[in-house]
Amino acid sequence: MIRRLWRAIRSSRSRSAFEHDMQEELRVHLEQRADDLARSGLPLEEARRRARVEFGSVERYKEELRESRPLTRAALLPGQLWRELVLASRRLVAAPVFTVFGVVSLAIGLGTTTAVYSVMYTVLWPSSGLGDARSLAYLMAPRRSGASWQSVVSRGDFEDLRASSKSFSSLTAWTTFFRPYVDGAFGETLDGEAVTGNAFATVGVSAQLGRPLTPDDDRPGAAAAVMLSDHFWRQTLNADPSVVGRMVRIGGHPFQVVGVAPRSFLGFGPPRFSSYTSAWMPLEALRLFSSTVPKTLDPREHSVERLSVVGRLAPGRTVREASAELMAIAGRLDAAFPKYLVVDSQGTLAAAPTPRGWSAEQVDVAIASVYETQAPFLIVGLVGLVLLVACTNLANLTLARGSARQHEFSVRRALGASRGRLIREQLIESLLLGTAAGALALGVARGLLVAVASNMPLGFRVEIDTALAPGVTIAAGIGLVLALLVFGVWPALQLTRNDVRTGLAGDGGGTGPIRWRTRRSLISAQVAISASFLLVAAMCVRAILPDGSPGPGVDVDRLALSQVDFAMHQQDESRARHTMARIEELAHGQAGIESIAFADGMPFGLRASQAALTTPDDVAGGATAQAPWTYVISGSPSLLRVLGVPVLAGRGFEDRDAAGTQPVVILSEAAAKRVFGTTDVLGRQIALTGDSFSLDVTTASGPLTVVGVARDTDVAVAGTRKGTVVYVPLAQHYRPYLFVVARARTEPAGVAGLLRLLIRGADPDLVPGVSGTALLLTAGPAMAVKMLGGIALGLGMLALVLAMAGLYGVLAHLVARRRREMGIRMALGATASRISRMVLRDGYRPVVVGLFVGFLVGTAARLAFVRSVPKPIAAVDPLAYLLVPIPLALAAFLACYLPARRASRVDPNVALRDL
Amino acid sequence: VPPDQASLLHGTLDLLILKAVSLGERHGYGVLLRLEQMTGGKLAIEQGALYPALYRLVRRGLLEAEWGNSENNRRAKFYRLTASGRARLRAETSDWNRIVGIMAAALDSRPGTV
Repeated sequence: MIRRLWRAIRSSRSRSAFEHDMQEELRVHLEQRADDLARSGLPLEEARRRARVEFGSVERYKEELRESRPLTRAALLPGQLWRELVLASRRLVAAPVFTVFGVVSLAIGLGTTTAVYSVMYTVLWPSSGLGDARSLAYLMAPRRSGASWQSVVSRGDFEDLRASSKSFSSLTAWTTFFRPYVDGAFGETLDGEAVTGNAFATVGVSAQLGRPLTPDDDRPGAAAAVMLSDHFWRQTLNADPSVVGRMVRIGGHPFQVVGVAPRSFLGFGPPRFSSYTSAWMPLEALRLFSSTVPKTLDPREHSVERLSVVGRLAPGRTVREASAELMAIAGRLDAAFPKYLVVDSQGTLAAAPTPRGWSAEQVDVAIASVYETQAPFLIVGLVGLVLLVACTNLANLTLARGSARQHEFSVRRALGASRGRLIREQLIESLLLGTAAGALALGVARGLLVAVASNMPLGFRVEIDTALAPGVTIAAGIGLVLALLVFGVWPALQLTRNDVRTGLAGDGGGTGPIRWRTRRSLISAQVAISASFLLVAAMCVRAILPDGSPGPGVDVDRLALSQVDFAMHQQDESRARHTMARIEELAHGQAGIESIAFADGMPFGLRASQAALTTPDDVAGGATAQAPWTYVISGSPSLLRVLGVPVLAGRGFEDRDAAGTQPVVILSEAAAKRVFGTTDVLGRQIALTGDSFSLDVTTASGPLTVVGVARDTDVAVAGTRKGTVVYVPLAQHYRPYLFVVARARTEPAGVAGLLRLLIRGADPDLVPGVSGTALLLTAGPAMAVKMLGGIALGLGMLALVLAMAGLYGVLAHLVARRRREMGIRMALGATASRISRMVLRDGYRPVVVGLFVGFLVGTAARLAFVRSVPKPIAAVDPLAYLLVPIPLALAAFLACYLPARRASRVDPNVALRDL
Repeated sequence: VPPDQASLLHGTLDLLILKAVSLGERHGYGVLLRLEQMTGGKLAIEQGALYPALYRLVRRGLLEAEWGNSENNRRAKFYRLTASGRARLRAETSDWNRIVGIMAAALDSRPGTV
């Protein structure tokens, strides 16, 4: 059977190949015969003549052979298909506007969809690289911002949990570390995780090179071992395979690199947006560093909660069972080791016994919840709509164009062409359009991806792969085929439906009731899609736009930061101060840097230390327990200027606020109000006591004199003005962990890199920590939402443009189809303006219907989506309802008016001649 | 030529060609020479008539053709029996022999033997 088919296909090669074969074969025959005859003694000329005579009439046989060309059905198809393809492409070339518009709109629709799906795929559904993540669970504990997996368990609690849990077959704890990594002249900061020895076994991750960390590495006294992440190995070590086994120095101690983790493994916590985990070391190795808080690792310690926990569920156990068990264990621990937490309720401190409140959450779920997963689905839906609009356009156009060929179809059917044949013709045309559009769409998608990738903020975690994932491409291909089936077949069916007699009678089916209704409903559908799309897009924009909030209070756009940890490098204050002076000196020579400052924290959502804010009187009277909690930032004189935080009263820090002079302080307005109930506080004194456990400086300050009041900022959490902050001069309060912050003259992205160079230039032994623009460093999931918002907006515009073009195309076509009718009307005395009005009215009717339907659908969509948008937004938004129809109405007006004007200029004599 | 005789001749030519090709791969001219040898030069067809027969056999899947180099290094199309061609040749040959036997016996009959 297959052989037969193959022969059929082979024998049905194109006509010219067949012809060539045949000619050649007969020529060879004649030549050979002539040769043979010549060899037997005949002169060559005569031999040739004889050969021809013996052969008979060459032309007659050729004709006979041609007729014998195989004509089986299977063999027939390819040739015929080819002819039909040629015909279809001729038809398409003959209608360039239709073709170009169809191809471009479909390509844009498909390309955008593909690109957006690609981006979403990488950005929003990152794989943690954890083996079989469904049976892994994080231990969650209640925190101020909701249940959190981060730093929730003390070492003592963890050991008890590990000993008593039955729901988990294996439990692993980890904490993060920042340490300089030095290998010869090379230095870089590691942003790593310190893990229990069973960590890699628990999550089922091995090494791509060398070996993973094992329980042996985590024994007291074991040789210090470190495992590098693929990202660190690739990006900073140029994927040097010889690094495995090498001795390097981490935080000044010798470590042996034992392996490199697989590329897919990003770390034990959920993947982060702005940074990569660069290495893993055993928890035990943290003891090497003098600055490690010993309680972090002490198995008898039940209050310092620095560990995060992930566990592998025991076979057959569910997350729910694990949660119940964790709750029970936590209850037992609460009884044995009550946890007193200093809670900040309405700005006052209170030490209250606080339940641990543990629960388990499946790793997949926890990761998904980090990524604000609702918005993406909204976008996915909208992107689908764009493709639908593009397809509707194409269907509309095919229909409109086909209606112009109605007469031709009728004639052909009358002459015996089957309906199937006409439909096939249409399908082949759609197929050609689709193929061209598909090819173009790949280009569009790639272009978009390259654009997105190159506009990614520097250092953003997600690497956008500009090559289309095969899965995405295949999905796009399937989408295209479906689109072609629906929007190629359906109009074809519509067009060939009419009966032959009507089609033949004069008017080529221009205003047949069924088709007019069909076209009108298509236009309505498209307007409805656009309108509902724009309504939802408007909601997206609403959700993303800051709702009148004053921003972070810091002019962050041109800020670049780099961290230096002098303690990590075990450098003392005098050396640190010397280095800072050197950095400042170097920075002054840089054209890109406007100003530079140093501070141990940042008042806009980056870390800052905390202390209780009180007055010297309260300190003396011992009444500090109820003191409000505040953020404390120790900064160099230029800090507020660099940050762009205005000093509202008094002065900023100056060089005279040096060590040994009067201790001064600048309060934020909120801090001033908190302590004194007013912002008129210049010259008054405050004191700072205690400190949050996470910081190594615990000093009760002496009286600090207020010399200035600064404007409030979003101190702790971006988007809130809740916190209070006090600024103290770095000269009077040295901190070893510092941000170098610079205001760039233009673009801050390059300055972040420059800062790193300056730091290393000032002291080659220093390894800068995390660096980046302020926007990047404060970016979290908010960044993704912002990006998605951009995509949503872009799609909204795109849908609008497509809708406008589609509307114009179809209405213009319809109007052109009615030329004859207009000719008659004008011959009967209708004025040009009357004709225009009539066209406008007819054209607007489906638009109005579409708008109405679109509003209903859009409102329903908004009601459905409104709960998944993080901000409270009214589902029915009058502004959106007022604004959305405007572009559509404009488009409809253009679409109808231009053709209407053309129609009104029709010469009745010319138009009527067509009858 | 009366129609049934023509079809008999057609069938005969096809069978002869199948037989000729079965003796070894041949190009068109080679088939002709082989036919002449096989029939002792008694087959009188126009040489050109060979080709419609060859093409017909190819189309029926009894022969397959492929371009190659002839003995004197000319490009030529070579014909070869397919499996079904071989089977057909066997069937036709035995049919032919049967018919010939029957016909010979029939034509040989004399009064008294029937």
